[in-house]
Amino acid sequence: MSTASSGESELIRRCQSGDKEAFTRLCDLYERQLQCVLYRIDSTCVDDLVQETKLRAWERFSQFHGEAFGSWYLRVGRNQAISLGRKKRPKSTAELPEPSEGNRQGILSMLVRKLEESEKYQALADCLDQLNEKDRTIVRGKFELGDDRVLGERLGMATDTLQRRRYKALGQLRDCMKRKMS
Amino acid sequence: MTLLCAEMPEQLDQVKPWLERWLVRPELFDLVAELHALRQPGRTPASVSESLGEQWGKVLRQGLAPLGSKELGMLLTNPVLLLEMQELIVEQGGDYWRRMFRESATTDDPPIAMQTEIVDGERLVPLKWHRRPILVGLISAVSVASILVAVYVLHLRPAGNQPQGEVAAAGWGWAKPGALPQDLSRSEYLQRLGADADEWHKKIPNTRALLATRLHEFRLGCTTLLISENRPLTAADKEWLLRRCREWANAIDQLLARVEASNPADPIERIRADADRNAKEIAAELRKRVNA
Repeated sequence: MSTASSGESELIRRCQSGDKEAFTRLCDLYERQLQCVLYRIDSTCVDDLVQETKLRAWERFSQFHGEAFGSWYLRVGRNQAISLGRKKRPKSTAELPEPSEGNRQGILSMLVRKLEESEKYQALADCLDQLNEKDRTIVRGKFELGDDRVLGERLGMATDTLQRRRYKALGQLRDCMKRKMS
Repeated sequence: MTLLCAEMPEQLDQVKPWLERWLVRPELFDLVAELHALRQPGRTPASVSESLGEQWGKVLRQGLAPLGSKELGMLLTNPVLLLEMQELIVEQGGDYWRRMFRESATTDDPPIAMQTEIVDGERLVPLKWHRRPILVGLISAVSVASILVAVYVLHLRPAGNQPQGEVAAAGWGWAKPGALPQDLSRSEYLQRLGADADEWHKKIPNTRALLATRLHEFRLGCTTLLISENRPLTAADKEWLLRRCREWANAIDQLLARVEASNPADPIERIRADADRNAKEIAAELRKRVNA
């Protein structure tokens, strides 16, 4: 995380003098980033974890020595969430290691596993199986950002027919998801 | 529950801002879970820095703007890279991304700790009362009446520094509490009105219900502005504002009619793009008026 702005440095200086309000403002600068980190560890109690992180970071602020505050704060949040997760679910697979170049492939594999364990993934995968192969290809085409004319030619249909079929197929997926997730 | 990925805009130039807004949201995981389910199985993604090569450094500094359709398509079809990208942006993103995170945090996005529910194919998330889709039908049915009630109540109120006070019905824009302070200078007031109009862009309403709610709030803001005393303005300014505000209200009404028509040939992305343009023009007009 890049170096602190002058405003941030001033807040850090005030925190070092015990100013709690400055600390809250400092944390607020990184609240969204913290939510992003925490959501993938435990999406059910992010707001609680944010509060826990603030508390823990304040308690440990004396251990903060001039590195980038954002990195330090996010690390406190990540460790706090993992620690609380262990207490809640001793065999949780939700733990994500600290990102680094060395363990990047490991992180990606873990993320894939976590995605595939999610209810949403499983519901949509089932729903997708209910479409025929052509419609699956048409739906996927939306996200490949290719040219619909080219895809239409490959599938032997006019572009507007392809787009109508995509609209209908997405509607079917939406309905199917509604049934499965309700 | 809506299918989040189905709301992706069709036009490439709109896909980038759409995806950037997701990248600074905790709920990116939900979108990625969908994209991962839809992807063609069998491919193993490389890391995002390896996949984007030299572009990656630019993305960290400038957002997704440097990417072409090929790279964006690669990310959308290897969506786990989006999660990795978010993690790296959180840690290493430059000023551009920090600003995106802060702007994203200041919007009243749905609380992220609660579960979503499913009603009539729309994703219902715990929202502020005025954004709840369940209220949208009601708001549609009584919109004219509610505006009249607001007008009535506002007219009964004694003049103060913030004439719309607690009867304001929206959490943003001209209808939010304290939006029209009457003790500013003329130029400050016009700038403030422009900034309030710009608040439209803080949200991406991604369903018809949410877009309708947002437009209703914008429309109510017009009413609030029309009946405000607008004391900081000159007589000529007031006349101009009333005339323009009526036209803005008409334009918003037309957008609402398009949302309510639910015409597949007029997708939500197109209406939203028109609404974005409309809000941008309104804000620009107000700022331009400062120098009139």
